[in-house]
Amino acid sequence: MTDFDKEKYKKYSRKIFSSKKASLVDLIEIRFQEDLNEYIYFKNLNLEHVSNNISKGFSVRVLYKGNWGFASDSMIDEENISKVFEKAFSMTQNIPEGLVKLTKEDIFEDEYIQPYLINPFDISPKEKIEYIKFLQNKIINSKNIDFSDFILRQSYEKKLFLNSSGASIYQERTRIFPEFSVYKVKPELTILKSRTRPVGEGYEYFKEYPFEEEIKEYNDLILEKSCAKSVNPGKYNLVIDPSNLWLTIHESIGHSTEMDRVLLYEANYAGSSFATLEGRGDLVYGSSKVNIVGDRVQEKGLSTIKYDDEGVKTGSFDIIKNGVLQNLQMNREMAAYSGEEHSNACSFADSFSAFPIQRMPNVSLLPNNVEDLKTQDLINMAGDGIYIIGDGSWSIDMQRYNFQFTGNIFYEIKNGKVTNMLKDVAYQSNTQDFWKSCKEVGGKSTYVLEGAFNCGKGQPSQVAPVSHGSPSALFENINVLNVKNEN
Amino acid sequence: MSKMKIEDIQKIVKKYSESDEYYFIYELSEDFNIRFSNNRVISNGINNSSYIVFSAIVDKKVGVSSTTDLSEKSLENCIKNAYNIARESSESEDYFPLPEKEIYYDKDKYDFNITHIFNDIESKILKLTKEQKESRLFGYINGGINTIIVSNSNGLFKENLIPRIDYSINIKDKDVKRSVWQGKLTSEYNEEDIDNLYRKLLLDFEKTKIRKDLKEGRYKVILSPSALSDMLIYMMIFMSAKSADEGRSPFTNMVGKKAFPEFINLYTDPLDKRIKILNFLLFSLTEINDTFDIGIALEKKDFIKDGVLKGLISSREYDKKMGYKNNSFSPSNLILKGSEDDFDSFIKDVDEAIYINNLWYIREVDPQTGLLTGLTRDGVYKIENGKFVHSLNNFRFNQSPIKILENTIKMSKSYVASPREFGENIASNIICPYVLVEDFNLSSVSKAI
Ligand SMILES: [Zn+2]
Repeated sequence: MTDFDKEKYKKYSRKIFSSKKASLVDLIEIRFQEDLNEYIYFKNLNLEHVSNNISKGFSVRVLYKGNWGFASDSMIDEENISKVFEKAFSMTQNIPEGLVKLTKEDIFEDEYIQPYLINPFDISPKEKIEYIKFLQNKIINSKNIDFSDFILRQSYEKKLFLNSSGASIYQERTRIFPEFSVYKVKPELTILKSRTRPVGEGYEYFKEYPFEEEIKEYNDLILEKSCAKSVNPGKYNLVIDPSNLWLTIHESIGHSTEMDRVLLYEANYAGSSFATLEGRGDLVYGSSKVNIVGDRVQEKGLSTIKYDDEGVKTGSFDIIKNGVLQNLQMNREMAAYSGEEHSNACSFADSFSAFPIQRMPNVSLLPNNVEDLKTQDLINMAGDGIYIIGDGSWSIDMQRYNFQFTGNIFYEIKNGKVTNMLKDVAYQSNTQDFWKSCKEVGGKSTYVLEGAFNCGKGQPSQVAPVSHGSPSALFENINVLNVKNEN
Repeated sequence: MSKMKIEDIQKIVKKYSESDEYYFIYELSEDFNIRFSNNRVISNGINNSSYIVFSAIVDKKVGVSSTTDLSEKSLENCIKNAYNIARESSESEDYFPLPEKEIYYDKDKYDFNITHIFNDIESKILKLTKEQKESRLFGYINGGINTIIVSNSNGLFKENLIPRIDYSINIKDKDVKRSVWQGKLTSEYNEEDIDNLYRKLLLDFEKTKIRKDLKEGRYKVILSPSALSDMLIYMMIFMSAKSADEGRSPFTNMVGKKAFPEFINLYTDPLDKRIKILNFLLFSLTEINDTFDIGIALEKKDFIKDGVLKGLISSREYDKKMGYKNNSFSPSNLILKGSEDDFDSFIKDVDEAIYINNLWYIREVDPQTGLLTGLTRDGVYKIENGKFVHSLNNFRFNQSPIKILENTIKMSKSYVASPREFGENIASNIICPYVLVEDFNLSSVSKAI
């Protein structure tokens, strides 16, 4: 742990805000940020890597006559802050007037610490290493497992945000993601990934996770997968578990409803979207079963936080209601541009040196609110098809139309019953076709909050953690490929 | 620009190190970036940063700690932290004594005034974006200079200066129905580069005036160096000698075999001057534990020679244990040797093919076969009788990079590639030709522009 001297940083910043130059510009934001990351990686019983990393510094963003200037430095002291301010200021000078306008937002002075029980950085590496070694021992002593790797990722984030309008917000968050994969090499390479999820929780998630039961189960499961029938390509009804569907939600809905993509900000890099500003209230994304909410307040969500990186208070909003697009994700600049009165608090910067950009809130598919349908009910409705569990490979095009996903475990569904395992499955579809084919969603009892630590976007590229809740869901008539045939 | 002299850091390291074996990496960078979209600048930055990664080794146990805060207090904490982790860690099976003393100072001089370059580029971009009438200009230009130093307890000291300007520009029509891209990766700032690249972009844009649709299928394709480079970087990720031995790689049981056409020669050469790269090992994209090799000199090595797979990527420890002689450390460039032909003579007698400018959103589908999926992007054209005849829709492909090399029938000379997907990675320096490849699986149509 390092010193993060909030009071000193506030004092430095206020000096900038009260300077003569500051009175010339429209807005100054100063963000101090510290990110702790710990990474432990085992291959079988060998500890391949353990590291503990601190990234700490500050940035200044200046808005002057519709142009941004941004500069950062890893050395926090009074003199440097004014130097960096000068640099950011000078970037806005001698250029034609720009188009940036911001919504007017409430000003907050507040502190927020995400609830957790145990700070992962209060636990010694030794305890973590010994526990992982113990688990790895169990895994590789399983009869059917040839090889195993185990990764534990943990982060702790501190941010102090100040702006020249008077905002002063200090926030802390933590997250953790333990993950293992087991391999069986013969008769052909078979891989199973653990069911663990990345979560906005403390060390308690890792400690309480039922690893030993899962390892026991995986010994049989990997044998079954290695002998599974290779899928016949064709059209299938798919029952998709939240552990797989979250990623499809992320790629096809989460990203396509980012306003910066709609406004072509990402068109040279991450891509744009088929969605449009005019499509709000009108564009049909899916069947009436599809209800998607964006939020930054869901408990244990990876995007959950009280204020975004422009000091705007977070909340939740409808993205898709009964299959129709309602709202896009915005920051202050985009909200103003699109004629909205307020931002919906989707600004995020992944490190002290990162320019804050519009990033994803937790984007979740709502469960069935009429009936608490179980996954088995959806399997009954499917008749014949495939039941897909766990994520695998993913890829989607620049406008979020064409996608292809694999998974972790696949079962054949016959006459409404799960039968044998299948392998080599990939499903390929287009976003709107796919969500329009959503015939039913499971109830509350099937809802799980999954997510990712490292969603990438932006130039320079930034990563962001984000969660996606989902029930199980049934999709009809989806194109399935056999990945071995594709080669 | 140096905030803390390396001598001061070394002093601090000596003062607080607690074992006979350690090493550290010190990186200092000053960079700029400018991003423009839809004919306006949307973000920018001038950033100074530095960090230290300290690796402590105690009884074959390793602990790593890094920090961006280079005050003495913080460095002391970082070093102590690394030792605490090392002591609490477990013995590494991959342990190998650290590289011996070797001293290398980078003698190249660079006159990079970051603020000046930023201002110059910004004014050029503002001029170009203002000129647009019927089209929309997008792009990202970043650059700077990185000083990277590795030093270890044996007295090894290596310094590399890596200057880099990376251009990425894209033009679309008003209705966003046509889109093309050009990129350039270079070690020098040249005031003419943007305008030259823009001219090339406009030439490509002309080719998209007639657009026809084509169905999915297996086709003969031409991959540009950019498209091929992203596939080769992915292939490099698969090239771990250990994973191959463990049966977890598409290269399992392939070493020593003639798996590719005679004219396929893939190698690494840190002395290749076409783009400046690191000449010592810093990190690896490949799944190989090279913790104990950091700082070691990289050498010229063949991966594929006359179509035969000669070696993969490995560490000193693993090579010694297995008796391997032909493997390479994780390379900082990958060169696919081309022919003598420039692009015009290469394409002259291609009777029919689909030209692909960029690949995008590439992900592994099947680690056993090396099958990757992804999209074509920003420039897909029909080639007939050596000429660009019209542009085509985009596709999703399912294709392994190994199959690409197996099915290559013709190459141009090699160029420094600008990988679209892996653009910003310091370990991703690819020099490769345009290739004509048979039986490329364009698995489905994508409506994306
Ligand atoms: Zn993402």
